[in-house]
Amino acid sequence: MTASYWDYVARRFGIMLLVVFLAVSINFALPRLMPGDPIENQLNQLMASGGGAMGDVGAMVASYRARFGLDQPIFTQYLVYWQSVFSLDLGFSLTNYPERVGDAILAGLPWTLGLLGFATLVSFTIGTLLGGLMGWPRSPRLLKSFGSGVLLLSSVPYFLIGMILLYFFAVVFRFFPAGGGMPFGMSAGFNLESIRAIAWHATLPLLSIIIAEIGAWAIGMRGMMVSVLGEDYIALADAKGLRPRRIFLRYGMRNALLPQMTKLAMALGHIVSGAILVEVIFSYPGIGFRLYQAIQSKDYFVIQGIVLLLSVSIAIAMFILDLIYPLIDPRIAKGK
Amino acid sequence: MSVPVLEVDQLVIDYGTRGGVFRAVDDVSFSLNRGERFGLVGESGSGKSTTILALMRMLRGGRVSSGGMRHNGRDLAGVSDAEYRSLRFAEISLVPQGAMSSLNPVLRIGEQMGDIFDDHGVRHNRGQRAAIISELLTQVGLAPEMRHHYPHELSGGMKQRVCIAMGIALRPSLILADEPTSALDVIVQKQVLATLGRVQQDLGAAVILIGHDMALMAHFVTRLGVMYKGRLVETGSVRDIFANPQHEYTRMLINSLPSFDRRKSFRSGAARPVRPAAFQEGV
Repeated sequence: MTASYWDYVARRFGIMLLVVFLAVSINFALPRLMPGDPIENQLNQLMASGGGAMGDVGAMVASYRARFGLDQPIFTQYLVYWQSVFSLDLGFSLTNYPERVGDAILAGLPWTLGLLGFATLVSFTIGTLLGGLMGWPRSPRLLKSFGSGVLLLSSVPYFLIGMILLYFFAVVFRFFPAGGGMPFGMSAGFNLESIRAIAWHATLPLLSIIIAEIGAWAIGMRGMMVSVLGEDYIALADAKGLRPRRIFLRYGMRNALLPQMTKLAMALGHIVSGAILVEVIFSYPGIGFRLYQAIQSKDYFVIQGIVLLLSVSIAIAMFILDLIYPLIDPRIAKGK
Repeated sequence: MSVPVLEVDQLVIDYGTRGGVFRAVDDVSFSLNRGERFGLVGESGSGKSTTILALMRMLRGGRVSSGGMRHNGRDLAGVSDAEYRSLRFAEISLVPQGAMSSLNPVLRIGEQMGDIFDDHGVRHNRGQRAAIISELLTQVGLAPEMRHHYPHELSGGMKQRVCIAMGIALRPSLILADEPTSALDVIVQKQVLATLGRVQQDLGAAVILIGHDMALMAHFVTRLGVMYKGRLVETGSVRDIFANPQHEYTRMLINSLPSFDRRKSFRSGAARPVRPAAFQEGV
């Protein structure tokens, strides 16, 4: 690789660091700006359910504040926060006290990554190919009208599709389980039985995301394909007497794919937050469900942990995209 | 005399539009001998490019309504689409107008040139392919290393040279050059055209050069055709046409050339705008 490529990489890396810095800072500030106090909230709930025999609430609040470091000046809290980010110690959950935030994230992450990662890649592949073919004049008419039907589905939100699927395939006909990541009491492992159970539970959530997302990928790709096919280099490729298949793939798709790759990196970066509603509908044990619960109970540290993970993963996804983009579009590392 | 490389016989091309049929090319006939350089001039929309596209069978939305084209005596109307594909660049090649945007931005020069061989059934091993592409680039005055470059790393003139190199890759008998220099500056225009002329002579291919620039034309072609509103209103040797232009549009084109001995020359074209109706009967 040339010197200009490494210059470019260094610049992009700097931008990533800046994004992470801002994300961590905003992430620290936002929950503290929210009205309400999580500790008083929590204790009040406990009192309400425990019948009021709690003793001195004020003293308890103070002791909890001290334990979580919330009695320190805000700037000290900020420094401590950075320190804990660097040591990957994200603190404890306020609602499930002894549970560490790191553990909560680790427990949910594989589910979310598996579900969303798979759904995103599948819908990207099918949608992009479909969109490309829809923009290609030589495609069979049948395929184009099928494609238009799929595009129609993309205007239906995925959680609605999820609820419809849930109703028909889990409630009316009991083909699939109505929720959860795997059967109750079973633990995940690398064996056929466990994989089959996970796949069986993931089918409906997967389907609802894929059905809703294919259309979005296809619409973008069709538009790009149509505009690429109007380019002079396509006309020359045709004049050169190249085979239609080569023109489609190497001259058409190859160029129309470039903006799709940006969207794919964004989508993969957003995986963590991508389908909170799907996870909620199917009570899927992923990060999104956990984030939803944490927001409801003002669980500062869990929210912070997950949002931090979210922003860092977007920043990293964009950085990785920046690294590979010059390889798929030679014009990028040059210029600017 | 042997069979002409190209015969165009009473060609009529129509475009179906919302307002009815638009006749873009009307009863055009001409022929080219082996190795001949023929120029087609005419204003935008006069049907020059449409004629070229018809020869490539690349009309988009237009159709040949009557008349025919023969290449080396073979009637092109009877050629199937699949066969026409293999004819392109192997027998009839095109040097495009917009060289700036005619190269695929994501493929190296060598790759886009290699595609031509691959899809016309010409097989090479790695070394042969590299040697042939280097040779082609050298022929058009480019360094062989250019095959490793991407289009955005080349200047406009270099891109046009690459297009010429592609046009001669399969040694066609006819090269259609659709205003190949219109996007280039004057100096580069001459160089590129000289390059085109040189490789065309080496190859013995016939050339149809399209353009508006009468001066550039006069340098390059031996015979000239003038198109106006879809019709070929005048053909003849360059010398004859410059000496004794028959059609008013031809006179206007020639008069619009800057000249040392005619001071008013610039005004004469602009002062008397051509009104289509005025010489409709002369057509």
